[in-house]
Amino acid sequence: MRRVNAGPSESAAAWSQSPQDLEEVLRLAGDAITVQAPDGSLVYANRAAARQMGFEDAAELMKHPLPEVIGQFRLLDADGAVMPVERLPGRRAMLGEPDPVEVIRFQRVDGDAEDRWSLVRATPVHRDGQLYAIINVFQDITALKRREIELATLSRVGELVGELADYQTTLQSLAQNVVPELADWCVVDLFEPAGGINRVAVAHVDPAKLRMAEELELRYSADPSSPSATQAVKESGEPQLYPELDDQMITQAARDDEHARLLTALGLRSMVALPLAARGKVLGVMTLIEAESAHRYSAADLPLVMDLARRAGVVIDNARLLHETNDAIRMRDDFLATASHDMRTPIATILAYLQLARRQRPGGDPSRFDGYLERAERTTVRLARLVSELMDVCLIRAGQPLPLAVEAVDLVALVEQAAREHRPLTPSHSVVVERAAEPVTVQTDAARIERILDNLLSNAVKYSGEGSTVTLRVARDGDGACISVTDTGVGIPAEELPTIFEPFRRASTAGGAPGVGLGLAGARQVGQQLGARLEAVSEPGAGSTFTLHLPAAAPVGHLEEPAPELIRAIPDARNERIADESKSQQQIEREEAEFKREAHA
Amino acid sequence: MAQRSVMIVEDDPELRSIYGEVLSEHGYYVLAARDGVEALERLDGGRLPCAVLLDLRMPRMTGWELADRLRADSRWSEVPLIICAAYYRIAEEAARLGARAWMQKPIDLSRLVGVIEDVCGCDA
Repeated sequence: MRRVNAGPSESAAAWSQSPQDLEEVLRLAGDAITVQAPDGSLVYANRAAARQMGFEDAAELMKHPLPEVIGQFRLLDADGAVMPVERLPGRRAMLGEPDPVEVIRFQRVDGDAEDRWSLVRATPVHRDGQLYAIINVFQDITALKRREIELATLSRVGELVGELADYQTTLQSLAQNVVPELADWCVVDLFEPAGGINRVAVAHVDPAKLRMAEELELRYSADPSSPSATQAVKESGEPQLYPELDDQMITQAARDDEHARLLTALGLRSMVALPLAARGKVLGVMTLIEAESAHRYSAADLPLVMDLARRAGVVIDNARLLHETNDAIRMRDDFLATASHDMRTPIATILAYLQLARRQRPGGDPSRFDGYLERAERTTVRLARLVSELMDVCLIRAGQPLPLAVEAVDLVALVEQAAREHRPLTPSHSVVVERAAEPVTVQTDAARIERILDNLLSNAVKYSGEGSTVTLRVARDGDGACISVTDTGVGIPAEELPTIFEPFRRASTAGGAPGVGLGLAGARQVGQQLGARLEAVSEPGAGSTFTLHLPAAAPVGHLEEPAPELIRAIPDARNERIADESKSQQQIEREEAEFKREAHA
Repeated sequence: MAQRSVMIVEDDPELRSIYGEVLSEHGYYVLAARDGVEALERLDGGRLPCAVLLDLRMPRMTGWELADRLRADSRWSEVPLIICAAYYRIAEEAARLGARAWMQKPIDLSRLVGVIEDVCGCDA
């Protein structure tokens, strides 16, 4: 059993404070200790000092002259600047300074080991009033300095969150802030929504190395199908650590001999690929690579570099959100410009008809006067429809349901009505209806279907040549029905077909036709609320067919209480239809004939 | 003196017909085209108009493209252009295209006649 507090222990008693014991303390102390003679020559070094200078023991070190020992290192100050010899504490103590202290960074000239930091204190020893020796104590603060640099880097990266720079600048400064403290190379790759990988930033302190990397990137751009660290991170969401990259690994990763040569020339030695994640989503990969430095990544580095990647993820996410917001604002501005453009044309038509009508008074031709007024009225209805459609698209974009008026609608009558309305507008096209013999009735919102059809018809006419035929078909389709509009126009390239229903898209073959595609996007979205599906098939140069598949009954579950002001804002579509239907067929045909005569006059 | 002719390039059929009617009433011979492609067809071999009234956004060939083509062809390079469009930056575009005048839709019909008369002279 241990004796407790019963006088000095045996081991304590063995400690004699003899000169041999004190010599042992000095020799084995953890801090490096050296003694210089007044002329600066080295007269003593302990074991820690020998090891710090790269020697096995003090005897070995003492065989070499001091300038040779020091010459193995580049001596830098706390800020990384070269330290002149006059600033060394030993030198200053020699000149009479009482207790000089300095933080010195020891960087091996041959790059064989990582940099080390010491807090160096020199103490002059005097005898008989004369300088007798200088004692230098080197306290190793490498771990502290490393942590300081790491925290400063993390903090700099974190500060980028608050900077409202453009996306590309943010990504580049992110990479720039990591080198050379935490890596020789920092590469940022982002995942594209379509599945590809986009290299968005590369940083290295040496511009010549950067040029080499750019050349590599140009000649051997990332191949998503080839296995890579980036791919591995993408698939696993976990960091990928490669402590030692040897030439064999690099040769294996290379696509050919030249690629291997260029990769080897970069001297890549160690690598860690980190997921850039934010809000639960992996956005991309940050790859840190050591080349010139002696440091190799190990599992011990992971907590730090993962912290870095987390902060970088937030920075990228923020920059991306800002970028998307700016895009959305630009899109909205385009939308407003286009909407006002699209409204100006019918307004121009209405104004012109009213001015023409006024010129018939007094003493003009009463039938021409009436004709102008009627056409002004018809164009006003068209304009009101355009505004209603705009309101619908705004509601859909705001995530709100449309106030639908669902009732039994005979699509055959609706399609024929649409054809009749369009014929006078496009006397140079022939609008043909192919219909079922029986009425095709579904429960839907007639005004909205008319608007969709109006859009499809206008497009068909707009993108097909004069004298060509636009065919409307209406038929039963299972329980429901389908309406299609076929033209023989310019068509839409296959690769653009999937995007034509996106807001503000038009096919490249569309030229500068008015409207930036609000029509098709709006038509599909309005159709969706009616449970309908709008599809397109096309052959460039031969024409397109747009088909609207309607269910037997539009869903009505979510339509109880639209805000009253919205109901007021949307012109009463049913009244428009009743007004149109109240005209007799003869009346409409008379108008059309008159219009054609005048148009060709 | 021969009847002066004006070319109208406008994709909206109603506006094309209205502008044509008004200018015909004022004694102009009207060449109408629904886009840039048709305008070039009508100009080629036809009579030289004293002005081209030009919309900007049109299918197949826009007003911008047509203006460039006309400027590049010595036969038409001197024909005055009058931009008549709804485009929101019409003044800038008209200046860039070297147009003689511009009118933003909706336009006043008597102003249309006035501008054409200014450009072509009143003796049509």
